[in-house]
Amino acid sequence: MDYIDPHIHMVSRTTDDYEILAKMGCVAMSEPAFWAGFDRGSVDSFRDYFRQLTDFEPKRAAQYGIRHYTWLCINAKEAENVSLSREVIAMIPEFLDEPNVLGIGEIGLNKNSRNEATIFLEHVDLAVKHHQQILIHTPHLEDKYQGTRMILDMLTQDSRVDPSRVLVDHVEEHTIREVLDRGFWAGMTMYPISKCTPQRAADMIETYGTERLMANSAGDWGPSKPTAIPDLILELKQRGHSRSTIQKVVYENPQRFFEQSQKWQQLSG
Amino acid sequence: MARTPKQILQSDYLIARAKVIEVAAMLDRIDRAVDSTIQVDNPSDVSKTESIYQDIAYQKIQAAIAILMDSDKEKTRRIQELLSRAYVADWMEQFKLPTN
Repeated sequence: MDYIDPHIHMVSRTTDDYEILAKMGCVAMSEPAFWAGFDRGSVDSFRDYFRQLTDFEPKRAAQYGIRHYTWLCINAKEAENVSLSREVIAMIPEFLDEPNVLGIGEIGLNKNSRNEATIFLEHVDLAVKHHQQILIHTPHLEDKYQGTRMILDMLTQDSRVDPSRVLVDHVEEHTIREVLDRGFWAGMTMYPISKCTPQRAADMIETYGTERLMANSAGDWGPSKPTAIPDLILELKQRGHSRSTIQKVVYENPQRFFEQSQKWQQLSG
Repeated sequence: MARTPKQILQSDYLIARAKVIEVAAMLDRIDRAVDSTIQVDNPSDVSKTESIYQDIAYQKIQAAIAILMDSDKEKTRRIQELLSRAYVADWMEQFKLPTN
């Protein structure tokens, strides 16, 4: 079954992973800008990173027939450095016209600090002014519930933000309902330990239905599994779900969300 | 087609069994570490080691286990909320953030 991974960090994966993903049915992916595992030192290091996302990765993906799209931002963890963040935000427009850039992301909160919230709002303002979609990172573990509610507060208090153009990622059982009830798209990230499993993602699909709901692997340099979506597909099949239900979550929904960007090329099939 | 309760139990039992045993094993490891610390240090000074049982992380695990044992539904969401930082409704006023 063809699928789209709406959130995966291929800069941290080897080319072998592209081959495996292509063999398992991945036809397109979206890669938000994220924390590299260390704090970058200058705006130029971000400029080089954005070149990697907009030039090198699409070419690497294309070797295996996978379309690669990307999102740009300074991530929530590095947003604690307000002056650097503002330099990066000022630089982002240099890349917004690149053919694979879908919007601003993954922006959000990390430890739910004032600096992070300040920079989050400035990213939202940038996105709105440039008519970009937004991809949201919600915090990890014990910070997720508090941070998700703070993020939703900030988004909903800005009347310029259209929830149908915002994807709130890494939802779990205690955050998904509020995200969907407020009209946003929701993404479930399947990690072996620190986020939900394919089994719990299947549970959430059964509980909340398939409207505005996606799943992703968020494969990155930490413990993660780039093939998590095929795992979810198998889990749903084993539970007796129809092909149309599964395709809606792993293919049609991502396509429906991303086609709101003029950069997205419709996939056939 | 929705699975029956029996089908779910049959398919998921071994996974749940393994995970429950992992939790039990962690609690046993803590108890063994407490016991060996008491033997190495002054056996009468149990306060240093038994304080682990008052540790907030340990207490949260115990509270999560209590949720597993109660008869109410939505155990996953309730445990997630138990293990989360609380949301403060007036956080924006505290941060003095600008509004767009």
